[in-house]
Amino acid sequence: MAKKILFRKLRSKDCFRQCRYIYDFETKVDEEFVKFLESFGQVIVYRDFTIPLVRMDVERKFRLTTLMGSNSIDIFFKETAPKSFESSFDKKLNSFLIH
Amino acid sequence: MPIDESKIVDAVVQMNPHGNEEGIIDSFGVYLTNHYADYYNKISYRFESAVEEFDTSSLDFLRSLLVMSGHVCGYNTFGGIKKSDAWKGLIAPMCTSKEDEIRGLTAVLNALGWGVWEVKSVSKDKLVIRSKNTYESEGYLKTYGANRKVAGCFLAQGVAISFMNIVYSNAPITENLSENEFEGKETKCRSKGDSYCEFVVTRKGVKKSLFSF
Repeated sequence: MAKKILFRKLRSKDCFRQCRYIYDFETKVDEEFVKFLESFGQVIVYRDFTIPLVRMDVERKFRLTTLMGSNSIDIFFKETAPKSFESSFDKKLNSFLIH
Repeated sequence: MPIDESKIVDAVVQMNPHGNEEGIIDSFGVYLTNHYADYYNKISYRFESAVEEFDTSSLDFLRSLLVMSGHVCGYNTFGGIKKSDAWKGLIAPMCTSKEDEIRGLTAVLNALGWGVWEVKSVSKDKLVIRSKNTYESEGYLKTYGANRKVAGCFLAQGVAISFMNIVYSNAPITENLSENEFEGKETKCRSKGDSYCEFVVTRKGVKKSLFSF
């Protein structure tokens, strides 16, 4: 996969007062990225879509969607997630993306 | 490529939208719930009957509120769907025009079980869309029969208007029906005895002489 140089996190809140982030990176979502996501829980890839949709709903932790080939992920961290989880996710994502 | 409605329906079924432990369906970038259509029908039509009994002068206002509810629903649901990754991955690649986007939204509406809707014609200023089984007319006919003098698919009318606002508005849109560029009416209704329900949505300010209702 292409190496990522940096990522940028955008923050917005939805009506359910959960924090929503859109991560932009300079690399693209691919099968290797999907394998990385599997370390957090079940990943479903809708391969019949023209652009395969990647979706995760990790109970009590987060919901995530992205498209194969995209360079952003849309993630909601749930209110029930331990507070440390978000920083732990950031750290793991960072370490995966920066080689 | 043209809109492939069966592919859209299959994809929605495959995604298996279902409620979580709180009854919230998180799909297509929006939050949905399953609801009894007849419950919504009953409260709408009983509300209408109650107002008719006590103050007929307020009926038009009440009906406009029900249409506005439909617009709020359509604006949030389909506006959100159109921004979702699911739309980008499945439907956007099929769209080569804004007219295709209207057809794509209609396909999603059909896939979600709101009835069987069909776009008869669409342009940047006008939409004609029909359904043989809006859930409002289904519920009304079951309870009261085809005895309406005034069309009664208020939520559906609001949703039809929201489609045009979402796709063709030249300015930022809002939930509030009166603040947006399109208006509409239900020109045929099964609850009045017509064989289908039809909604005509037009851009405000475009000369009415160009269209016939």
